[in-house]
Amino acid sequence: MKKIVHRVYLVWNYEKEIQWLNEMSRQGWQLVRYTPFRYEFERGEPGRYQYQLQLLDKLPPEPEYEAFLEGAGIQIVGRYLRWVYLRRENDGTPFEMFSDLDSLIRHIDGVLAICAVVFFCNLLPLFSLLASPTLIPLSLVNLALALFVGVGSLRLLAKRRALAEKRSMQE
Amino acid sequence: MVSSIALTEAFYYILLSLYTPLHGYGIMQKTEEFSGGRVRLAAGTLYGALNTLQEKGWIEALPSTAGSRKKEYQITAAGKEAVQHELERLQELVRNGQAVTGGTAS
Repeated sequence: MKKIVHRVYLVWNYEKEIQWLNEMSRQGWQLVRYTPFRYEFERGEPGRYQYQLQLLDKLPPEPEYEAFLEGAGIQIVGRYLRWVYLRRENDGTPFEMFSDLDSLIRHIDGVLAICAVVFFCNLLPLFSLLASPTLIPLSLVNLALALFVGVGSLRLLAKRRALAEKRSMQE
Repeated sequence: MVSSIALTEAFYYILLSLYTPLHGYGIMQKTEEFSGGRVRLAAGTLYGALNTLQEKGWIEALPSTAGSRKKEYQITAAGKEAVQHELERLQELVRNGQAVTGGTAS
């Protein structure tokens, strides 16, 4: 049995996205394929797989990394730009892609960099408002988007700060 | 030249694991074994660390055997030197800790 879900993935909410996929798995719906906005689930044993998301440094993802993941029992079920959707069989231990503060902070920095680009791109049209009043409705949409991204990123920023503080005393 | 920098646990155990050639998953297992299950290397962290160590010339990838997609790695002479420096640093930490607290390493 299959189930297709259409949904928008908000980059700054990547942890919620992971939670959602794991929750689906617990309910017996395993993500088997992901293409942008389209999630394909298959009915299976509840909790059989654990899911993770990772933002890669490079585009396209290196086949070498795929082989490396495979060796560790991790499968790529979908891609979206530099993002990869990953799963592995639930072995009872938490499934994380990063195990130390340095690499965790680096990963969050990558996500925040994307958020910053989206934020500023949507902030720019605000200046056109000054040039031509006819563009006001359009700039307001962008402004709303910028606010949306900005507020969404705040939680991630706070998390990054907490991790950096922790890192100043421990590994 | 190997400057005296403090290695993170992850880097230290990766280097120790590679005194015998291993592939990625082998390093994860070896590190867990070394630390009695305390240190677990996640795949993303390990892959990044392997690239960094290769760039530094502390480890090298072995020529892959035909038909195998898994890459094996091995520590280099420079890597061994780095471990030696780290060992001296750790010994200093332990020595001072014991001298001040009067305790044993337990």
